[in-house]
Amino acid sequence: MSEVEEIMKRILSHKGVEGVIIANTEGIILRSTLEDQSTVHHVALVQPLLMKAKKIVQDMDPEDELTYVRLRTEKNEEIIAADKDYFMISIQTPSL
Amino acid sequence: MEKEMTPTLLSNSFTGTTNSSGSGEFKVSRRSNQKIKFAASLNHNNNSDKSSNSVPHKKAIKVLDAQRRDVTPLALGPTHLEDPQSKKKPLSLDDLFFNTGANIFKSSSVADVASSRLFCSSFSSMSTMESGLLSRSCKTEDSFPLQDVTPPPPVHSAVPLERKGLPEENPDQGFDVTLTETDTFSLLDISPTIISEDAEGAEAVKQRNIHYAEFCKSRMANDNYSERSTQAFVGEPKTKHVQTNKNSSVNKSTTATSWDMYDSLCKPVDAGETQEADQEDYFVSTKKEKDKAEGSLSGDTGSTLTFVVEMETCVDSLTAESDQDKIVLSESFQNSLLVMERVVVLNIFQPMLAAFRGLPVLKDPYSTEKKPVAMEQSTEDKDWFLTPTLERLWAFACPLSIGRNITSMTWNKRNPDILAVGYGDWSSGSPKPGLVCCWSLKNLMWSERIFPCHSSVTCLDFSANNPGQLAVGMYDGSVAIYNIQAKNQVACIANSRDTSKRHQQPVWQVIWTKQQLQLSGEERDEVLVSVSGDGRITKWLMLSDGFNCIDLMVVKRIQDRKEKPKGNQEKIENVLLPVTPVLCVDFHPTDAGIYVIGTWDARMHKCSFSNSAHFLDTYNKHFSPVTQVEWSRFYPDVFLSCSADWTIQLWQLDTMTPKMSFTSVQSPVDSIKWSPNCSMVFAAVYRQRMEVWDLSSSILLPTAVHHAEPGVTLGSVLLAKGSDCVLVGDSGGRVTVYKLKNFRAGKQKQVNNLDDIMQAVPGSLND
Repeated sequence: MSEVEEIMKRILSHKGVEGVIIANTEGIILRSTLEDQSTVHHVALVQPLLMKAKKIVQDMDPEDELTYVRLRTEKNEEIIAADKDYFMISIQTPSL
Repeated sequence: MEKEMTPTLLSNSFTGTTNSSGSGEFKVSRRSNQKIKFAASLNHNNNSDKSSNSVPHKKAIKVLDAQRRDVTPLALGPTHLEDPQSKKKPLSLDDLFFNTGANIFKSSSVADVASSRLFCSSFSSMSTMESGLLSRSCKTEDSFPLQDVTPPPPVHSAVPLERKGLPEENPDQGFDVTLTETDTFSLLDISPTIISEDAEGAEAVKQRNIHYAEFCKSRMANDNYSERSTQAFVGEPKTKHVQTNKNSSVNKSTTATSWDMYDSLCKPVDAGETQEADQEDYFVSTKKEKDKAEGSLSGDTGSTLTFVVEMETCVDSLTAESDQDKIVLSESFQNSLLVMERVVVLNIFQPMLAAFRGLPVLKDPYSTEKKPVAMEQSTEDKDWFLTPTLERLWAFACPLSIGRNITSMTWNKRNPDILAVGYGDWSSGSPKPGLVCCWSLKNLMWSERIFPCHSSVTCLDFSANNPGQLAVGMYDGSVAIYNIQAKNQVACIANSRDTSKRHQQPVWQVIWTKQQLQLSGEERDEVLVSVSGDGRITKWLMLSDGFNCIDLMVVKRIQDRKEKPKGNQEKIENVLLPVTPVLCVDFHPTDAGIYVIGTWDARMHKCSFSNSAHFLDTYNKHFSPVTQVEWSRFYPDVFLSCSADWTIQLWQLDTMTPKMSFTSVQSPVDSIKWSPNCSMVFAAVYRQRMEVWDLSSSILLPTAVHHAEPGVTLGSVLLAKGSDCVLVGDSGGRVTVYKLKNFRAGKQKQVNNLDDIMQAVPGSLND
């Protein structure tokens, strides 16, 4: 557990990282560094996207699995790690 | 009196008329042989007093055969429920066919009733109530059995229909009724109107036909015939309403996707099991299951379906709390975290890493800063006039490593992205515990593997055969092997701390080398060789009883030169010959049996595996301890040596004097490294500066110089393979990566120039 906490702290300490959200597949938020409302907002919006992405991958090749989704926008980048049980979102403002 | 019995089996219109015959389709021909006395008075109400509840206006007829068996035919219509139990109740024909009395049915078998019921329903307007009566009557018990009519004996006799007056006889006695078997009822008999031409009456038929045809022709004018039209009555249609339960319909649809089919194929059992488990244990899960059952079949919209899919995918999850723990502790989560960190870091350092790898650095279109774009592919002409410089890219530093002195660095042999750095500090007299960090180029801000060592680390080397094995040499003389694929405690797979023959002095260099086995010259087993301050060059093996070593050679002091004493150790051990610390070793790149060592004596010896007693050659040039020896990868016979006498010497294997010598500052040279990319480039680190020499551009001066920050001494240098970068480790615990810019080295046409350069220099150099 402590390792996990450490790594999360490190991720947060990197330049440009605005927040990290960890939620399980149902959308129940496990951990978040942003405030509640924006966390819920994020999770609610990302979840259908993840479902759709998972279906896309599975449809094209049933043995394949979705691992990451990166959403690069003008202002920041959302990196979403997806798994069967959970997903994790990191929001980073790139320093470029 | 013979009565033509014409049972009327037709529709309602015939109710009550027993004598009317139909359209000729009903024929009752008598073939009956049985004499049955038939006493009936169709207009009498027989035994009305006796029959309790038979219909008073109806006639009751009872039929007995010659053997006094009651063969009263069953009523074809339903009879009244309430019945007398009398066996001899007379019944009328009307009763038989049209009554609603149920007494007859009381005694009959179900089968009989069933058949008669059919008849009943066909010619009587039977309401359901009546049929109910019928059915009810079926269940009543038999009061008098009806027997089937036995096949009559072949005696023809007419049926005497005796109409007797009832009051004459005792009703109990009954009448004698003679019954004959009726003939076969032909219900429909349409005789064919076609006969064959060969038949008997064919002629007559033909004649009649001809007559008829003629007659038809003459009909028009004939007075005998006139046309008349009639009107047929069309019965009034009657609507009948029937009410039933509405068949409710439910829409069901499903979407078959290829992954859905694959999932059902692969995990049919799991879904069932988890369903049960959920049902048993968890409240929440039952709700999910219900949703699943409902939702999985009906796919109304896309969003509903996705929601259902999501429900299905989390059938396994229990509650939120245990979820969290399970997730967070799971390995895949930690992997995700790891990659996430890397991704975030790479986002930050993307331009630097691109420069490191020689990729064109893309300018961020949304960036508001102005950044100079690094030009990687500089043409020769363009850069001719630009001075070679070093551009700082980044520094490997993490909070654990800051402040520690870096003593050695090495790349992994298989994965060029992995860098091992050894930290150790013994300048303060008492050596502190050391550290080994394995950095990855993918995560520049945190070392992915950190192994603390009990003593300061002096040297490192990765194995080539087992790329996960890292050999570490320490200040207290121990040699350890770490498996960097494991984390933490299990990583150290060998440690020579407890070995009896371990080094007593600091291990100054460890190196993995391929040893050629004696038996078969082709097998290349890898051995770990270490050199240490006790003058021993030892080969380490992982034997069954542990980590053990075999001395390859013990380097002794050569007597013909006056040397200062090595240290206290020599004086104590008077028995042994004085040994000199060996500071460095390097193996010949192609001939694995040959190696060169550099000693504290300022001498370098060429030795071989097979000869452990003597050196093959001795190279004398330096007058201070030789700190590093390295063979060139491009020229197998050329090696470079550096020493504390401020010089770097370039040697060729069989030449006893160096070919070239490089001096720049008056500072001991701690380390040198050839460039893995170019044969002419090497880097050297002095205490306060780092120099990169490019022999193709200048042999007198270093091409690029980097000064250390004040307060920091540089300890180690490394050049990256495939990349124009130099890594410098300093005493502050940072490994700084610099890019060599504007170097013209590495061009193909200059490959042979080292030989040319060497030959261009005058043959012998003076001291």
